[in-house]
Amino acid sequence: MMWEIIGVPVDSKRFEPFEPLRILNYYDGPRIFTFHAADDELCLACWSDEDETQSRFLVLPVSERIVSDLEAGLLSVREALAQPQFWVVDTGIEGVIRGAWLVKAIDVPEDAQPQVGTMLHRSLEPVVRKRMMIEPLQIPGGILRSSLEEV
Amino acid sequence: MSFPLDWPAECPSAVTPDAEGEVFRIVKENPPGASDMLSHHETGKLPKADPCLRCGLSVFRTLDDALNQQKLLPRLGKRIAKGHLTDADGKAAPTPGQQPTHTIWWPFEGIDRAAKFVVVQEVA
Repeated sequence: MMWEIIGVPVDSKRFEPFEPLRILNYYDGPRIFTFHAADDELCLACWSDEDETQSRFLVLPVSERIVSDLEAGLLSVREALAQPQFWVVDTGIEGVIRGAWLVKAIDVPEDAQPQVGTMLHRSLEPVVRKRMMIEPLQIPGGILRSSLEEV
Repeated sequence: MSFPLDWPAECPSAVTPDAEGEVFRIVKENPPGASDMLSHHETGKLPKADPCLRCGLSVFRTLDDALNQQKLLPRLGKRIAKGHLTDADGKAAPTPGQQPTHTIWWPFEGIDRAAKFVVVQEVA
């Protein structure tokens, strides 16, 4: 059984046609992808749950910068989803939207969203950590401190 | 051995390598069940997706990559199963893109897919 949605129903037409523009993660099918909403706004969809008849995605508007940061390993997926609330979109097996809701992030079960710190791919370790491992003595302290404060 | 007749023509393509070697797949059951090994083509999901890719199953070549995928989308399943594929099991090819070791396995018709896998890690 899929997790219970606690949220406010919204007009699902805004998310149509809900067809992937750029697939960021694939597992038996597109799981994390961008798409253009009906008003042409760029959105990110992240698979959350499914049963035999439908799939559930967490959806929020994103910038091209966030997408490129995800792909470059500058952001974890959870960080990209870090908004106080986002939309939940349910689709039938054929991919057609069945419903959409505005949901508070705290009402999404922990295991229905990416674990904290998980990157799109394992090779994308957090850049700051990677740089510290490779170049521990080449980063002036002040620069490192300010860089960390920006993360 | 052959592929199901309801797959698209030339799927997988003639140049797709034989399946071989260790692979890892996220599963829900222990031992893995038939429902853990269904393609989108079989479940009817996403009919507009790439018609050949959706006939195959996603697997990874390393346990770590499978674990990362599980952490990314925990409700895919809480177990990682390992299987060893041979040329009698079908064809397999890495997918283009950024996902390291992500591979699509196109199993021959009649293969008992689940029986080829054993759970090697349970995720809390």
